[in-house]
This record gives sequence, structure tokens and C-alpha cells, in this order.
Amino acid sequence: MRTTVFLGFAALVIVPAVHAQRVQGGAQVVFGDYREISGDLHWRGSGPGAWGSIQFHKFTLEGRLASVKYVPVAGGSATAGFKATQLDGFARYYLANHIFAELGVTNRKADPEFDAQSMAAVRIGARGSYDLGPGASIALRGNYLAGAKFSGGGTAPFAFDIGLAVAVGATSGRFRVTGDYDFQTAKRKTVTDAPLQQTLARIGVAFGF
Amino acid sequence: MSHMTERLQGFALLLAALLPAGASAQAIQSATLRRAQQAYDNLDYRQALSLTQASLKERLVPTDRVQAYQLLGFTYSVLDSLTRAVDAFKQVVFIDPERSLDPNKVPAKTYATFEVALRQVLVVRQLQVDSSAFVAGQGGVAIRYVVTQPARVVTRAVSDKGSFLVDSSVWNGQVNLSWPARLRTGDPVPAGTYTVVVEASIGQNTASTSQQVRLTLGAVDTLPHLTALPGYTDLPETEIPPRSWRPMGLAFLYTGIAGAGTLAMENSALGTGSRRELGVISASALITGFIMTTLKKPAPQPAQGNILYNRLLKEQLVRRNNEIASDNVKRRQQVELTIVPLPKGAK
Repeated sequence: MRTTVFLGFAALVIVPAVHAQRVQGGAQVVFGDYREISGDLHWRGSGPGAWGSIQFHKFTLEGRLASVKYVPVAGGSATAGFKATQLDGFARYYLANHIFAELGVTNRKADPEFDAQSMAAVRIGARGSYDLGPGASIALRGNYLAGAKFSGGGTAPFAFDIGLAVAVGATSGRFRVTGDYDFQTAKRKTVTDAPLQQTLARIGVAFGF
Repeated sequence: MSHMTERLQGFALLLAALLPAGASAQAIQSATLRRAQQAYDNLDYRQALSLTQASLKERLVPTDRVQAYQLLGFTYSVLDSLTRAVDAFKQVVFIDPERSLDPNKVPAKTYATFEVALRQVLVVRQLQVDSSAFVAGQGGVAIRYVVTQPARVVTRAVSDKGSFLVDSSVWNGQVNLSWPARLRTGDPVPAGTYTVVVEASIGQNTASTSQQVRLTLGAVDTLPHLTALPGYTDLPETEIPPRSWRPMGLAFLYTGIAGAGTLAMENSALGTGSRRELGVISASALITGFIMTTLKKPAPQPAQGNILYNRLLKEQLVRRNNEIASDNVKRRQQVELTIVPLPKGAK
């Protein structure tokens, strides 16, 4: 499964690269914080991540992969850790004045399956991106997570994702150090309220051509 | 009054005595004519007159004959026998139409007598064809000559390939013509050696002169294409804007929105959220904004004015090169004629 995802991701990045206007990819170290239902079910963890994007004129495709090994935070009621594999996909279209319309998906799987909620949703939102100077940029993203599904059932009429990204590197854009912040919250309801929340920080390097 | 007349006569005689010095220097083959010249030089005009007349009865070479008539004209002029002087000078012009006197070196009376003689005979003289090079149909070779009397003058260019009419008009005095060297079809005349013949006629009276020229045909030079417009250079299409606090402000704004959004959307049931991730990335963004504001030069921005200027320059260059290209197409179809007059006797 993992191999298939990786190969799919690689194909997404490499195959159209020949005709793409700009291709970027990078590896990251991901730090995460995950909570469910109450403040007692609290995990923290870290793991590897990767991302890639292809830009065709005003259109951009981006994919992200993060594999975080969560361990329970001391003092909480969680007893076992789990591994979360999150795959995000984005399709962006440049509108005007540094603003992009964004559509995508998010899919997070917990392993073992019942130790935490797996989640999938459609992303609908916008992204603002601005060049701070030669080789440096900052971006802010807000996505409404529509139609969120959970492995434990339930619905989330309000689910949102906020992102902040900064990148610094060579003026040519061939090499960059990247930092991404993702905050994801879902007011999940089953019989009772069962909210969940994840915060990720991704720090890595990126290459582009 | 008589005293004054004597002085003038003396001055005229002195001038006349000085004049033939040049002439006597020329090689005269006839001994009689040489003696006549010496007599003239010694102001013995009677002796000069009789000796010149005697020499004219001899068999003289053409140069001696011209010299004899000219000496006769000078002598008659000094002796105030103007009608005879005119007759003598007419003979000079008949034999050597190109002969002319320098008004600075001969007495005014003699010069005037010569001019009178010149106007009483029909000659075509001082024919001159200029060296020139021109594109067929866009110029001509200048032909100049002098006709001494009003006459029908026909100018032709004659070669073994045919005879081409240059001009046929009534002229008098200085004549300036331009020969385009083209056939009726518009094509240039064939290359080769031509003789420009000028024939003047009044009734039975005719005179002519000629000049040989060499006419060559060649290709017209084409113009090179331009890589830049002379005097104009491209301007830089980007410019570095003045330093501003905008990067720092944007870093604050973006991190502020991200932080505020996180705080606003945190679920209170899940306790206070983690600040570690937000803190690390926000700090990175703020540091980046600070560096970009204070330490790094702003990124070059497109200079719209310069871009438009360069675009105009390129359009002008393309237009000019198109003009050159179409001009070169025409030039490749054109023929350049070069006409060079040949010295007398050349082939």
C-alpha cells in the first residue's frame, strides 16, 4: 500500500515534469500533536514527510505525504501509540493579487485502525502567497473540510484546516528551506461530541527546476 | 592725349612681347616658323608677319600649322589688323577646336579677337564625360560640351553593339546633359567601350567631337541587416524597488492570521492546543520577513516603462530589417553602371 502511494506520488511529480513550467519537490521532518474527544486523549510524535508540486502557468498541483508516529503524552488517558499516514492533495488556480483558489483532499489513516480516528475530507478554500524578497516567500491557506468521514463514524459539520508556509532559498528557486504549519480541526459528532484536532509542523528542504 | 595713346601702345607691345615666350618654347619643326617666332619675340612684327605667311606656304605638320595661324593672329592683333587676326584665329579653331587662350596671359585685345573668331565658326569643344557610377534607372552620366554657335546638336553613344541617341536639340554655349544609359525597354545598355559623339550642324556647316568611355555593368551592393538601432540601446527590464517594510508587515499579517485562526478554531473541549508547531513556523516567518526587510535587497521588479520601450525598439528594429530585406530584394534585381572616360587613343 505504502509503495503504491509512493509510486503514485512519484509519477504525479515526474511524468508531467517534461512539459511542466515548474516542478518542485522536497523532503521534510514532521512534528505533530493530535487530540481526540477530550484533552486527555493527547498524542505527540514525529516522522518523515515529502511533497511535490507541478505548476502549469496559472494551475498548480501539489501532493503531500506525512507519516507521523504518535506516542501518548504523559499524564493523559491514552495508553497506546499509533502511526498516522496523511496524504493531502491540492489543485490550485491563480486568480489575482497573489490569491489562489484551492480544491483538494485530505486522507489520514491511523494504524492500528482503532487506536485513533482515520479521516478523509474534501478541501475547499483559498491560498494567499507573497514573495517576501529574493528567494523567500510566505503563504497562508484556509480550507473548509467538506464531507468529512471518520473510521469510527459520525459527521463533522464544521471542519477546517489552516496552513502557514514559509520558504527561503536561492533566488532561482532551485533550492529552498521550507517550513509548514498545518492546523486541522473537526467538530465531529457521533452520539455525543467527539472533536478531534491535529497540529503539524513540517521542516525540510525543497528542490525545484 | 597722343602721349597717353603712345604709352598704352607701348604697354600693349610689352605684353605682346611677353606672350609668345610660352609658344616659342614649344617644339616648332619648321625653320621658317621658328624664325617668325623669334622675330615676334624681338618685336619685329613685320618680319614675323612675312615669315609666318611664308611658312604657311610650306608643308607643315598640324601642330606647326596651328602655331603658324595663332602667331599670325597674334601679330595681326598687335598690328591692329583685327579682321585679319579674326580670320587667322578662325583657322586655328578649325584645325584645333579645343584651342583656347588664357585671358591672364594674353593681351585683352588679342583675347577678345580670339573670342570673336570663336563665335564666327561652328565648333563643338571641351567635351567632357564624367566618371560616374549609378543604379540603372536612378541616375545618369553627365556629359558637358560647348557649342560656339546656335546649332542642331545630336549626341550619340556609339559602340559595336549599336548607336544610342543621348540627345538631339538646338543648343548654343555651354550644354549639360545626363545620359541614363538605358534602352527603350528600361534595361541598361550593354557593357563595352562607347564613343560619345557630338555632332552640330547649321545647314551645310557641321562640327563634331567625340570622347571614348568604358561602360561596365555590376551588381548593386546589398545592405547588411541591423542587430541594433544606431543610437538606441535596450533598457533593463527589471528594477530594484526602494526598500520597504512590506515583507515584515506581511510576515506579521500572515502569522497573525494563522495564529488567530488557530486560537479561534481550537476546540475548548480538547484543552489548550499545542503552540510548539505554530511557534516554530511563525518565528521562522517573522525572521524571514525581518531579514528580507532590513538585510536583503528587494527583489527586482519588472519595469513596465522599460519593457514597453524595449518592445517598441524591437518592433522598430524588425520594421527596419524588413525594409532592408525588401530593399535588398530590389537591389539584387538592379544593375550598377560604371562609366569611366578613356584617354585619347585608348582602346
